[in-house]
Amino acid sequence: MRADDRFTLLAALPLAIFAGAFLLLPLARLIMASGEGPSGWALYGQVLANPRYMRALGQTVAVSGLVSLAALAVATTAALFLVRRRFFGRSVLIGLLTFPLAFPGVVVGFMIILLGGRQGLMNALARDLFDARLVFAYSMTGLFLGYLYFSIPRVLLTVMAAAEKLDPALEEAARSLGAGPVAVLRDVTLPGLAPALVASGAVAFATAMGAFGTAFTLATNIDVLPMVIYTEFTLAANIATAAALSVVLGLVTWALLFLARSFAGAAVAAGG
Amino acid sequence: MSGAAIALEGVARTFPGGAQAVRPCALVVPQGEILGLLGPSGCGKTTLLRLIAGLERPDPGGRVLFDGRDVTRLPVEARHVGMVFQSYALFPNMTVAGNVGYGLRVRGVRRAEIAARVEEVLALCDASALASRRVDQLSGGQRQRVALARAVAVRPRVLLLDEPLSALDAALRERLRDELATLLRRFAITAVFVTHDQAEALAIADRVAVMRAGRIVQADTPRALYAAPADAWVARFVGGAADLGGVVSDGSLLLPGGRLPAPGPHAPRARFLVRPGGLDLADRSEATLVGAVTRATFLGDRLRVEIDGAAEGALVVDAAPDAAAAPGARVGLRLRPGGLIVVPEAEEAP
Repeated sequence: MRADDRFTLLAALPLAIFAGAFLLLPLARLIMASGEGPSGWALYGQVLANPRYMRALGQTVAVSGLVSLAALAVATTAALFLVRRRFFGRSVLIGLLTFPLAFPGVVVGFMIILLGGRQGLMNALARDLFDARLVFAYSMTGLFLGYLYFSIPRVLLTVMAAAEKLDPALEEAARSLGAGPVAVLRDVTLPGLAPALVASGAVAFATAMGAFGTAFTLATNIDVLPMVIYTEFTLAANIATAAALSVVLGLVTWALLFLARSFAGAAVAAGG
Repeated sequence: MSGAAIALEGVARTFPGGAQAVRPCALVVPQGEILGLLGPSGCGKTTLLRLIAGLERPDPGGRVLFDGRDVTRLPVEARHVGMVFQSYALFPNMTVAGNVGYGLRVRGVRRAEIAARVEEVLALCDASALASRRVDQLSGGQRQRVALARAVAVRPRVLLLDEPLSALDAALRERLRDELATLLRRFAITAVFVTHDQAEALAIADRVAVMRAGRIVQADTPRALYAAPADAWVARFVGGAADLGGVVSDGSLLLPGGRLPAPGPHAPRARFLVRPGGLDLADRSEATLVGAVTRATFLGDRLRVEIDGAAEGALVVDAAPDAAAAPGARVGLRLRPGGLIVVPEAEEAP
């Protein structure tokens, strides 16, 4: 073995130790734990047949999917605007938009309560103006807004970086060939941004699937899977079920992301 | 003006911030002409091309006309122009055929018709074999041909090309220059192309408009441009002429190193220039002008000799490759027929 080969192997050692000790080992332990309950591996069948768990899974996937799509829509339009226009206060605005990156989920949840809770700003406005009640913080709507709030900056930064690299001549070429704004967006801009959209959308989705702090702050009875896992684990001390649900959550997230990536990859390849 | 494919009237462009890229200028391009916009970088030639295309709007008061119709207010997508960009700007998410057919697709042309036209245009550009290729599988020269095919596929009223050869390496550029000239004539379409390379402009264009600091200083056929430059700057820029300086007396131009025949009459403030090909080395006994060689560079087909002391500045002379001109030697110079360029003294903008 040559010296530099040995060095390369040595350089991989820290990662190997880290991956072994803190990634693979706990993961293996988690999977083992899910089979150590009274019903053994049959637990997975019970979990998958449990309507409450499945409803929570469905809601988690739905809210995460909606959050990803909404974040992509908001952040892409904002990114295209911010990249193409130079105006006073632009960098302040970008800073403000990326601010939520610094907040933990608890703070985001807190802000949603301040906005849409019983004592919230929206409710006060609705009461004073229309003599109505407007409370949405403690529901899926509140959760959706909270997740959206911290998904937008992640998507925005990635899409802005990609939009800055787009060759402006490509859009001018499409326009010179007679393409209107919609056709330019559909045929040139979005295909050019596609890799960034897929990557940042996947991050937003995975983050929302596993997010817990916001949901926990808003209400303890919101049925998303991370909340169910927490309840099973800490309150019911039902470790095997919590472990099995964790494995299911991980597998479902991974599978959906895999599907989205290969679908998007095929769409990019076949584009035009 | 209805006979002209393109007419510009008082077209200027001032960028936000106050820089005037194009000063008010007028230009008429007759139907079927191939016009070259030639100038150094930053002279406003690309901005002028973008004004014709509709990618830029002229300052108020300027008008752009196509076939006599005012298109000043039309954006690029409504002007029906074909455009070839410096980077070619081929759509990476489409095949070659997809690129070439794109303009027809967004116009809602039927599939079969698009396929037929794409095939026809690719054949015209000698690029039929590339139809199903992806853009990233093309060489520089192939990209250029596909960009050209894409621009002409929609049968544009005018074809606009922004530095169409500058993305290619030097060896390829010369071959593709002649190929481009052939193709443009095959399309039989009014074309305007931008270049900073005088050889390119002279080789391709029917007429060359020389631009300097936002102005068109001369628009002429390549031969007229070369033989009768409008001022000293054009003479220097096209063909690399050098100022001789000196004073005229009795049909001769008196110079530090002797004299050159300069039969009049001349304008009182005429200036005299000479290109590297305008002078030749001669035996000192026959020569009326003498200078000292400072450098001699062998270029294969000729010897490029730099000479001091003959004129007020340094002179460059292209001599025969076997000429004897070692640095330090004093050599005689003779004017070749038609070698002297006389231009009126003009004020030169900075």
